Amino acid sequence: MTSPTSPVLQPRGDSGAPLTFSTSLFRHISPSLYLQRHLLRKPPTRPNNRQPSQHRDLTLTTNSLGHAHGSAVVRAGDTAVVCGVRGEILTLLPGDDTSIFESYNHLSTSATHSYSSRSSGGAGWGELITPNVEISTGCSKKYPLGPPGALAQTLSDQLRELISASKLVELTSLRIYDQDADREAAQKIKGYWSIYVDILCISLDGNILDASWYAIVAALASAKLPLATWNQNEERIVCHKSLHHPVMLRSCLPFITTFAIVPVLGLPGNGTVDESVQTANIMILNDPDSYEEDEAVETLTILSTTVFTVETTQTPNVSSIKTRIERMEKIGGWKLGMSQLAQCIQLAAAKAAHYTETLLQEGSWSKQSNQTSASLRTF
Amino acid sequence: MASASLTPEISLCPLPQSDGSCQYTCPTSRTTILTSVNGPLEVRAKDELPNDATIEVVVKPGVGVGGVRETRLAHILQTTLKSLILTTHHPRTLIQIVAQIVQSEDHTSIPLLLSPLLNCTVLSLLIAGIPMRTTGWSIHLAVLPAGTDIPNKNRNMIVGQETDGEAMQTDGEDVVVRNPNRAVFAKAKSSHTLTFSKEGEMLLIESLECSEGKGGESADGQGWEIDEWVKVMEIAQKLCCGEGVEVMRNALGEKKVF
Repeated sequence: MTSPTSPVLQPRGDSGAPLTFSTSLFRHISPSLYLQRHLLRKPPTRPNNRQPSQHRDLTLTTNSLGHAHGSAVVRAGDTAVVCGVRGEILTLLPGDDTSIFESYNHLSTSATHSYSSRSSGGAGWGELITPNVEISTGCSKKYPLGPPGALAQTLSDQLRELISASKLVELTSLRIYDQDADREAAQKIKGYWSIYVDILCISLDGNILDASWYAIVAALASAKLPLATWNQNEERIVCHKSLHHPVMLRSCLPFITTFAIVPVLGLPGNGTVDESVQTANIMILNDPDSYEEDEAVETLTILSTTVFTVETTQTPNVSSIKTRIERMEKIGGWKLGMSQLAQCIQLAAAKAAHYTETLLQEGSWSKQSNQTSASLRTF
Repeated sequence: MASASLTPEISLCPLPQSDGSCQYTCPTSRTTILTSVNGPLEVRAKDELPNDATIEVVVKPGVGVGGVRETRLAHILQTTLKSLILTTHHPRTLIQIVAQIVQSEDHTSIPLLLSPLLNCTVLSLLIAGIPMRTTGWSIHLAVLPAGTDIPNKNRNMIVGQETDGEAMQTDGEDVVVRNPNRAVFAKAKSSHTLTFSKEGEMLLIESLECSEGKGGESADGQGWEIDEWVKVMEIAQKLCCGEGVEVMRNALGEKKVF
């Protein structure tokens, strides 16, 4: 960057020349001042040359892993994650209560379940979709190799919560039936597909949650599970050699957007040093990178679905946007106000549009695929 | 009568060896938390911050050993408290907070645990004499679909009906309950744990869609619009800045910590 960001310090002595140092050194020795100087420029520009409300463009590749049932590689800036989806068969024993597998947020009547769930690494009993995040891969110097640290654990739990809050996958599409039995439908269920969603971070430059969630959605949308049925002669579940069926997802996909809120002292526009105005001196950075994350005092994540209604009579403009929020988390800090929150929700809708577009371009998800899977299920 | 039962049971300094401690029992969900605060202590070299105090939060589960859920709770607590504590007053030191879940109807549920954890921690920080910018109070609100049948003994949880339990709820409007217990929470469609400072600043938002369902296309259209959320937020803000501050003031009345 150029001169406005380089500070000029006057040395104490009378040696004449002021002490200056390079921008890259400034970036390292005083990150918060460096970030603030950037944001005070007109128009405000982040060190990574983005506007505050601008997110990084995503690239998506699906089904690049051969051994997984579905996979996706997502890259946003210097953050890259791989997500692999693998189904494993869960055979029901006679007398097992199936209602627990059929519903998200199911409150089991027996208290033992809430205790037994402790052993399964955070996932509750009866949760068919288990996400896990691995970031100790050398993706960032901040996370050394070794057992999963606090961030990896928090992320895994957040993603589990996101899956159950958004109810992304239709659980009934994970049933494995006994085809030949002519008993009631409920008795025909012999097992379930239990889905393991593993996320490996290749490179970490901030905002891993958005990238991971997007990878999960894309991987699940592209996943093809083998057609499994109960074989009465062998009394076990067998998979068909060549027939596959997709995992059914929602038709209105939920997407997550993360914002970092950084304090900016002396933001132009309100030059007064009034205490109440000072609190409003924040800037919201959409899709923060790790440099900005380190300086952020507050983080806001919004999981929302957006329905775009396109007016056909007019020029193809998005005429009405309906955003529904399914999860909202804001931690740290105290400066975020209602007007900024509303602004963030709008940005989240814009990002959701971008996400959906990329997903459709990749061709791994379309409304038709859901319908075909419905017809397969009745087979 | 009804309003008396909504006051949390707070016992200060149950642990004489720590700098500050508190036991908190939520009046309605009966979640009991015990926290202790020690600090400022000497900090390990790798955790030392040149300009700030290091805040360490450990959440101990009521059952079994700590896992992923406890790490997450500790992370939420730590970031929230960091904005409350004046960390610059004790640079290069450690403020250690340990929270033990004593009793809970569901040891794995973040919504049921988070608000008692926060309230209890803030109280023990005050007792320990840690310098704070302001105090905060947390409340868990759950939104139930209109017409949900709530047992009579739990009707005092409904917001706006604490004083006269006889009043009928208006039809067609969602019911907002505060600090629900597990049975009432199971019927909720969304859960909102909100924390406000004494001055009414938003410290923490943990809002979550939590209705039951089989997922897939049946889940389309769930969630809430921002206007609905603002209504819930305003209720929470009123409760935290009014009642919450009052409860805290009464509890600390004789301690003279301020």
